[in-house]
Amino acid sequence: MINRLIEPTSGAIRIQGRDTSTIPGETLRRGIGYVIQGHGLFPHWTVARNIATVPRLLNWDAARIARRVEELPDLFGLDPDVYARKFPHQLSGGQQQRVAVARALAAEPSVLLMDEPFGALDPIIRAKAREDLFALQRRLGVTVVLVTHDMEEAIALGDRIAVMDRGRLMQYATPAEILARPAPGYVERLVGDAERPFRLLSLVRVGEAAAPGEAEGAPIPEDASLREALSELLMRGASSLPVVARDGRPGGRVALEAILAHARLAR
Amino acid sequence: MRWAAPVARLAAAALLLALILAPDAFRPVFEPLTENGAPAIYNQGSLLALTLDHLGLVAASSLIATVVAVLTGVFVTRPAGAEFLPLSRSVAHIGQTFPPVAVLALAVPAVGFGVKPTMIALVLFGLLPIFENTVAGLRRLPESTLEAASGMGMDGWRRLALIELPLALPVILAGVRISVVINIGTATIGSTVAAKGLGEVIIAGLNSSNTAFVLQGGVIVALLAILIYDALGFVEREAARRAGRA
Repeated sequence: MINRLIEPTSGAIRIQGRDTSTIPGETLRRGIGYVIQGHGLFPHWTVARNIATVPRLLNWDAARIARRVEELPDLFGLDPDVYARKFPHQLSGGQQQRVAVARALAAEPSVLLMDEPFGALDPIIRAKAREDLFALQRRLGVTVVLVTHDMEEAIALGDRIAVMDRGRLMQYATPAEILARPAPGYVERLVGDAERPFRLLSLVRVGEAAAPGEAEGAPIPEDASLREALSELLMRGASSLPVVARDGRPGGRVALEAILAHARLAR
Repeated sequence: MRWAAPVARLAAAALLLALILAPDAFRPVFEPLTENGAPAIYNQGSLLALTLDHLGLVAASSLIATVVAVLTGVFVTRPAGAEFLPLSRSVAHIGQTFPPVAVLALAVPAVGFGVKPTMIALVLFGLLPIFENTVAGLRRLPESTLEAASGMGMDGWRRLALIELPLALPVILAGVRISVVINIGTATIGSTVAAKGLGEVIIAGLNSSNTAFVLQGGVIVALLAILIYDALGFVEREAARRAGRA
């Protein structure tokens, strides 16, 4: 509905303050990146031609398109010299997915719509694709609207989560808010299972719970989540872990009690 | 046996050329089939000219049938034309069910003898496979590809020209191939209404009870059909490769 492939029956959708119903559908869609489940790449076009889809629709000049087609695959860890001439069926599932995202970003849209983009990937590639998307979003600052059935995914990626049930908006809040104070009914059932404390921990970085001090064993990076820290502690049978800062210096220690305190904050 | 297909192909092509260009060389083969000293080799005109007329007739009628069938197929797969799908399907089926001989019988009083009634019969007879394949090819495209095309901001025409037709092309070409081959055979009946073609050889043989003529015309038509079917198969596979399927 955001890109008006489905027209809203009532109400208005505004992008940067502009009512989308005042913009012609095709023009609107050329300004919005779109990634669907199962990548939707055009099988008869090369990777380069696929990425150039929207720039060509926008009548960019050839040199500008060529430059974009050069730099985008790079951003996704795909060597343009190797991949530009390949066809989608010659790529692995993860590569197809990355090309699909590259294609959606080609014309520098301010909004990127993703409809279950990782649904067709196996779990390991999916985790990688998720991390890549997160890093990319932080780098480009593009607004990503991502539809998923996977609560873990929503919590891991979302700055804000809108929970929908049968076409109705049940709650719209930050992941921490949704976990701490889920709306009664559907949202409560969705997040209120045995996983909830772990999900809470996954939102907090080790650095936030670290205290000065020292501990035995291999250190854990400060931007790891508390969930990972807890898992390490359980496996080692220890009660605290040394923390290492991003620049490699010691960052104190994180103790079991501090982690547990963060899991309880919910109440 | 990788060499078997090219060898068979070459042999068929060589045989066809020999039959058309140097028919007298086959006198010993056809002689035993004649009676009462009738000629063994067709002697009422140039076989080459008849073959070219025949191919011209098939090419023209297939071209018309392709244009009409593809346009109709595209139209009925658009939202605006969807309600015409059952109607056009019925028309195409009637065209196929109606015997070409009957079409000739009806067309001659209306348009006279010669090429015209034959063209009408061949076009009607050739529509169905192309139409059905166009519809099937366009409908079978993956939903995600079409959604991606629209979602990127392609309008209906661009989506059709850039995405749908190129991807459906192999299936459409398969329909054209079937239609062309059917019409290579069917075009022989055009000779009953005085359209130039290889049917003349066969009909001359039937009229004078000369099996040699019938066989000679029949073998040339059959070889043409086989070789053209084979060649169009190449085109089709190439199109499929380009569509990223093979």
